[in-house]
Amino acid sequence: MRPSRLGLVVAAILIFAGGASAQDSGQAAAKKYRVFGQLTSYLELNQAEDRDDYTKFKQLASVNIEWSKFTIGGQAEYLYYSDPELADPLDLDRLRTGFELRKYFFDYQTDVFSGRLGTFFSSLGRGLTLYVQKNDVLGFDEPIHGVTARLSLKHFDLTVLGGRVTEPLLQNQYNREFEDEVMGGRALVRLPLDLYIGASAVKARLDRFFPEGTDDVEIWSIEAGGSEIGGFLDLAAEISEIDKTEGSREKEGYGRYFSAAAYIGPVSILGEYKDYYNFAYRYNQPPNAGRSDESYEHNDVKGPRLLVSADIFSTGTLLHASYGSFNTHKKPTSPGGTTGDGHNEWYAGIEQTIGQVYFMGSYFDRDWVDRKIGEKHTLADLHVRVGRAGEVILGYDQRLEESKYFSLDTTRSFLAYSLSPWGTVSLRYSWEDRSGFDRDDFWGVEIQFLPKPSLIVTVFGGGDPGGLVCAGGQCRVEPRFEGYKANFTWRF
Amino acid sequence: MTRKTRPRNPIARLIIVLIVLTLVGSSINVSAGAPPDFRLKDLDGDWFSLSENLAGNVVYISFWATWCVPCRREMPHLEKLHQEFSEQGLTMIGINTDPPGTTSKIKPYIKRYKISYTTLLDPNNNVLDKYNPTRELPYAVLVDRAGNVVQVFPGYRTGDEEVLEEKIIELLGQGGDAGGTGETE
Repeated sequence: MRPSRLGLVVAAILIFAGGASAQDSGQAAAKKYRVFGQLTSYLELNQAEDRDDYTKFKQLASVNIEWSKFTIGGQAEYLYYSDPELADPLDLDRLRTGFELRKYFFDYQTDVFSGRLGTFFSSLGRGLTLYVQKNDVLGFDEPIHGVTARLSLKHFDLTVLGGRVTEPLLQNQYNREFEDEVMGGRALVRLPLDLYIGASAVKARLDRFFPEGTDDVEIWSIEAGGSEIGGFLDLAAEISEIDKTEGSREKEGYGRYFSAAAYIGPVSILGEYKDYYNFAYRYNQPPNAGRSDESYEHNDVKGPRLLVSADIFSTGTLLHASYGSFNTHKKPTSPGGTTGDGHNEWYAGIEQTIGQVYFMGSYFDRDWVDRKIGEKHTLADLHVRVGRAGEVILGYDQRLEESKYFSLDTTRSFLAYSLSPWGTVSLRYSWEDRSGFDRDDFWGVEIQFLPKPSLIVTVFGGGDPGGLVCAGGQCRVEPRFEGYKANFTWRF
Repeated sequence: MTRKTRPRNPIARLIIVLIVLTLVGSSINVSAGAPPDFRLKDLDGDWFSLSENLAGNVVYISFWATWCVPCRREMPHLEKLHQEFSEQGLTMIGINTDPPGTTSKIKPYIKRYKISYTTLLDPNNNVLDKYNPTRELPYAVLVDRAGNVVQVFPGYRTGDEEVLEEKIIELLGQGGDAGGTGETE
């Protein structure tokens, strides 16, 4: 990094901090407004063996000013790469170098009405018709730029929205910006006995990646359900239809989602059924009906799952287990002649606290019957309390994908000591093993230090294998990393 | 392969920047003032407004998600504090930040951990975004009887619950006269 730029950034932070400090000293004691936000500095020194070193620096400043029923806010970002050509293609940040006002909004909120002009995230219903969300784990951070309003009466809710949005993975893949338009809304009526009925609709105009042009999507859904029916049963259902125009082709599809949850003594039972056919478009993400840190597909899939959780022995031993069986709508007569893409998945877990020891373990297994591929995910954490505020933690996280011809084992383990409220020191050991003959090992040390609760400093040195990272059912492949990282967060 | 080039003293620069930032941040005592107001639905679809439940109570607002392991560890402690101090004026609020696709899992999860304090839903994370733009979980704020944030709790480490309990006892003992700027209406 050139010293002049580094100096400018540090100077800006100092000036800003000085202003906040002056404000605190009583100069604005009588004000009826308040200012709050967060400063985050992130520095990455990439030192992989097989390529030149480069530096990545990211500065985020979020500031909100709240006055009466109004809030004005914004988030500015400055991104710098010492050599953008060296940045990993999987790094979603690399398309946004320089200064950018990432978020900005003007909010007005009363008991019955709320409105926002600017940037916002939104989803309608259970995400069948619209889902535009930030996902920090995966690095998605593209809000809708537009306007949204919500009317909330005792038995009636109405949400409307419209604006422009970009899809980050597509943008990263094709190395150009895709700007799409979405508009829609949702109405919900609360009925007696904690029942509800609602409907939502969205119209989207999507930037086509090739040839240039736009595609149209129209999607609507109706939903109904109830809470604690008969004192023990929750029900929810949402059905949706989608019309997609892609060039001269028109496609129709649908989505159906049902869930029922019952609570009987210490046992909770959740049943879900999903049926999505030709249903995916850039801005929807219906329920997974599976574990949230696993991948799933929602364009063509159907099937049920059952999740049971309980403290059955009333000893504090928490158990949960799930089984789901899914397939596509393809038949032997479908184009390509496939019999489908069936997969069965189950997972189970246990949590137990005995005195000063806490253990959490879970195992996930997905068997792709037609592809003959297996996915396994094992997680285990052992915590041993040491003294009043200390704890030693041993963690293990293994993802294994295997077929007759290959296997990929990505494993992370760590040994950590945490001391409340000051922070945590972790020693990490990870490896990536391809079919048992090609293996990379990684060591790393991470220190997280909280000199005060509003200030967090994290430093990491070493390597990480990267690989598949999933959150909320979405997944992406993280680049591997070797070098140093530092993160500084200050809330005010 | 081309020869690797390496920037001069990158680690030294990193350390200098971190020391400067830490010293600056540590030297500033910014009064947190009132927490951002919000209006969210609970698990039964009823609206809950923070400002309507703030007056005169000590309030703990904790953001969590079903996929968050430290949240899972923290919640039984919060339930215990809720059981112990709710009658003395503690309002415990859990705000779930799961995406809408996992809404059906939330109540079974609440039942599994025997949580009886108020659980609100923030599926679009718009409230979390105001409190904690980087969105790490769990994240919590403690509000005194005068309606001012007195402490934030980023993450959860074993032992944090004892720091919290001490702070709650101290704030409950202050009655309605807790200090602070009381800047919002």
